[in-house]
Amino acid sequence: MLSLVFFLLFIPLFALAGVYAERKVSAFIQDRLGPMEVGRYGLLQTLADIIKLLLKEDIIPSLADKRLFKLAPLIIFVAVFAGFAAIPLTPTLIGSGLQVGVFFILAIVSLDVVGIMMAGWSSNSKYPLLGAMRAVAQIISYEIPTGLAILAVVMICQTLDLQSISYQQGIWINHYQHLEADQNYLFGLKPLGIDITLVGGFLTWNIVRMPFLSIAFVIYFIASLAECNRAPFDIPEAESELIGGYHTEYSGLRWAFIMLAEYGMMLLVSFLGVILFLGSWNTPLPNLGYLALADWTSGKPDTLWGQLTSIFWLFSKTFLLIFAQMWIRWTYPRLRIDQLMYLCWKVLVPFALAIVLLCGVWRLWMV
Amino acid sequence: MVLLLFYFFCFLIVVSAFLMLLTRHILYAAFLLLLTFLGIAALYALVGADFLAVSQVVIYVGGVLVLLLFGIMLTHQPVGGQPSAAPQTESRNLWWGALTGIGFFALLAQVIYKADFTSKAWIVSAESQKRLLNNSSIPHLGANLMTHYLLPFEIIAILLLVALVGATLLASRKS
Amino acid sequence: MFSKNLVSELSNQLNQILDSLVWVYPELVLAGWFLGILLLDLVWRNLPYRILAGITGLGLGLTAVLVYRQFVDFQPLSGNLFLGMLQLSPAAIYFKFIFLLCIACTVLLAGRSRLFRRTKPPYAEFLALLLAMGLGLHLLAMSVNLLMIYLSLEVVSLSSYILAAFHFNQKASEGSIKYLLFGAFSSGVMLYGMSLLYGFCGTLQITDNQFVTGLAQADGMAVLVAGFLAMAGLLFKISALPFHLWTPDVYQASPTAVVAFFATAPKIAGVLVLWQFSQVLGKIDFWLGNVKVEWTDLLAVLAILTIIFGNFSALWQTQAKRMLAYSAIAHAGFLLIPLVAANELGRQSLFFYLTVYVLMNFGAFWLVELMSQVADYQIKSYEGWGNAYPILGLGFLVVMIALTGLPPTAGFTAKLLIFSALWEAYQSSQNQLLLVLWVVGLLNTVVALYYYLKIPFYLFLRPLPTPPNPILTVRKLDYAWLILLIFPLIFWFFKTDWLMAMLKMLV
Repeated sequence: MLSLVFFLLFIPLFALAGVYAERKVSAFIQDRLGPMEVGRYGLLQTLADIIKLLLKEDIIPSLADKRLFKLAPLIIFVAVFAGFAAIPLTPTLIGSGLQVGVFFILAIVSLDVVGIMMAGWSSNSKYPLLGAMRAVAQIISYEIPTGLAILAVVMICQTLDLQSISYQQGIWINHYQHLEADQNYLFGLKPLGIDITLVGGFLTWNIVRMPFLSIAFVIYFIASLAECNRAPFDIPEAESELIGGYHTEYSGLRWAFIMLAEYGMMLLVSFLGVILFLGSWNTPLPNLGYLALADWTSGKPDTLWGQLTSIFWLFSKTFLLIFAQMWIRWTYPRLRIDQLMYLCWKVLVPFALAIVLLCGVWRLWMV
Repeated sequence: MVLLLFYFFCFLIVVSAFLMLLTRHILYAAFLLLLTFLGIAALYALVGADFLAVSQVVIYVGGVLVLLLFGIMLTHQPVGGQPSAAPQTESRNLWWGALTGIGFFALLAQVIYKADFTSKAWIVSAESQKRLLNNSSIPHLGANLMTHYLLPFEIIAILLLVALVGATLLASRKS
Repeated sequence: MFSKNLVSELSNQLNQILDSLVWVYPELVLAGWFLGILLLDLVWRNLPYRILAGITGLGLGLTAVLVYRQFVDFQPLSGNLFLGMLQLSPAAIYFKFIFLLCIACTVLLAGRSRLFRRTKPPYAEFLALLLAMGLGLHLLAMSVNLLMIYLSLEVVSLSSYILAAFHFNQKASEGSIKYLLFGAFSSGVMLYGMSLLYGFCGTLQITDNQFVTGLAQADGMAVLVAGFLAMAGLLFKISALPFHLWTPDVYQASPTAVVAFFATAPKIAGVLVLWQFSQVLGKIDFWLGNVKVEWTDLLAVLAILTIIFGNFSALWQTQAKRMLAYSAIAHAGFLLIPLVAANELGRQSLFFYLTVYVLMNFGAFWLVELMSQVADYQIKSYEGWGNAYPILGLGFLVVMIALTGLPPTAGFTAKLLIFSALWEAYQSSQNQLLLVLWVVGLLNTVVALYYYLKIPFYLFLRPLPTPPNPILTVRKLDYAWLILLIFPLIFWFFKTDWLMAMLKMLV
């Protein structure tokens, strides 16, 4: 319940900060200053925008399919929001301790697609329809490399439970049920004989536990950009040709909901990336002999210190990923649709398949 | 509470399925199908089949339904831009259709009523051993897929490859 | 995650699976060849049909050798494979040979067919799909588990839907779509029935004792309906009523080689599974109120309807392939007769009928394809060609007589055997329905005479419209195949014992 309330408040706040950050980041990348007028350094700019949005008229095109048109933003937002239920915030705080957490989030993404389609079609206009088509084709295609990259992690961790995956990547591994007797070895290889169960830090992160998972992480990151329709995969929204794609006809609060869902999606895929590959809420600092950095920077799971440190690490890593998303958006040009499909089917999917195979073999050495 | 939820989702499934039959608007029917699928997923979740529930969403909502919607949107030519020009189904042979439908339904309902599944020996014994409501079904699902159902699992791989070859073949040849 | 006990059980099961692997070498080869041909086409585009067919033939030959090894090494105890998914039986091994023969004939017939070669379909995919279908058929012949039956049937069906469209024109798409829609419908119905059956007994394995006892304890009407629904996919495959609607359109629109294959191999596999199924359900008496109904009664009704419908619809056909389609429906009815008889003679007669049926069908379709060089598929356009090419005409005559079921062909022997099996069953059960089926079957053989002999009639008794403009080329290969296909039809009439002696061993 706490998690629900937390995310309900956090997502709008994040969107607020995210939009501001996006503007500032883009400005600095392009050697501009960005918003400077409203408030100090333009800090209140987004707030002003939000107020404008709330006061705007909610326009529904007269030829739109009104019922679906009204429903679509809600479906998009609810779908994305439901995904946060499976995200573990701290070692003990998770919305729903699903045994199938990862799989659930994958399923949620597909619900999002239906909402986008509904929005695009019900607008009864060319651009939204084209945008929706592109969005759906893109999201469905990129679900395959995403799914395969996630599958590689699942094969290494042998579970779909996100909390279990989190525990496995740090020094508190033995504090979770069914993991009491588990050991972490360097690069996951038992034959090497270097036990790092109590060393922790980035050495037990999945990308180090199985070094090839770092390639899987890159695949996941690229595909996740496409999943949330971010540049350079933003052809569904392509302002310059489609004027926003499936949400062209939306305005006011409904448009705000769609934007909220977009930022929520960014947050969700970044969370998932951190949890699956980058050690979740575990500290990046390892215990090095007397320098017990990991012990100092992350408390025991059920203590308040443990909660605070884990939430700190999880969020800093996530925000780092989100910054990377913005960075890429303002650096790379938009892909053409054939390049998009080429990248997905002929580059990402084969590599992801090979990594899944490698992970299967690697797992045999891990026990 | 669980029983209440069960009835709620049953109601959702039946009503949306029924509306799906009544509406002539194909896209509405597709979106109502979404409700039905989600309701069924919820029922799976209620009986503790978590993996099945999520699979239901991934496959039916994420795959089948989206493909369906995609197909409708791609093939439909809007006439005059009116929403009333949305793709619609024709209803022909209404009475015969209804009659066979209701007849078939009555037959199956009678079959299920007479079958009396709750008293079947294997279900009773499974219930007494508490095998049905376990913590999670995933490890056992995985173990079974790799032992008892290994051959079906591999055959499905061939089956899907055949389907894939066929789909690309038919799509790439202009007739 | 798992207890010690469970882990040791799992490793035990894995060992059993590894042991089973030895018995599916032919299937592994087929699967490997299927993938291999697809890959080959990926690397070398546009290989000529001759080379691809040769490679396919190599795979088929290897499979045949492996099947022969199975035949030699067969021990009854080694039956249950993959923890009860498959069961190897001598009958299954025998029909695996037949399936391979069917595929080989199809490959050759497709290579011979002008229309097929002219439209330049993707050959590699054609052959790969045929091999996948062969894999499905092999598995179907061995399946004793509802899930396996369903899956292997789906492999066969999906390949069929695609093969049916291989002319890639409007008509072919129409036929293929019809096939797909009816197929999807019937497989859905089948799944529904299977899930009900699973609900009754808690096991998918039809040879399991639990399956029989579970069904016997369940309500009679429920089992009867569920059993009928579960049969739907199989009835669809053998094109029996009420799942026959796809047959004429698909037969007309698809390449002749493919049609010849559809008419034989999947039908055999379907009938074999139906036989297994009836063996189980036949043990149970169903009570609807106070009336006792047997499983065979249901089959008998289906057989009667199918025979009547198939034969009387065939009477009005003017197109050779369409006529053969309705004849295939009628034959599906005849194939159900041994299942109704459900005795030892029924089993042997079924195997005999199926063997002969393959030869007759491939003979007929080969001839039809040959004639399509000079005539379209209209029967009328066959006028007089019999006199110009006596050997062809004679071939037609023998095959049509065999399809009708008249002496001196093995078609007659096959019909004789199934009718005597039915008579035997009638004698022991005194079930009036069997007598009705017997009479209907016999009468319909007379009806069939009319439409089958229409072809020889046009061939021999009508003058050739002068001058014969197009030239009919008959190669040595054609003659060789025709003789190989048609000679046994006559030979087995005189030496029925030779074949029967072998079939008797397939217990």
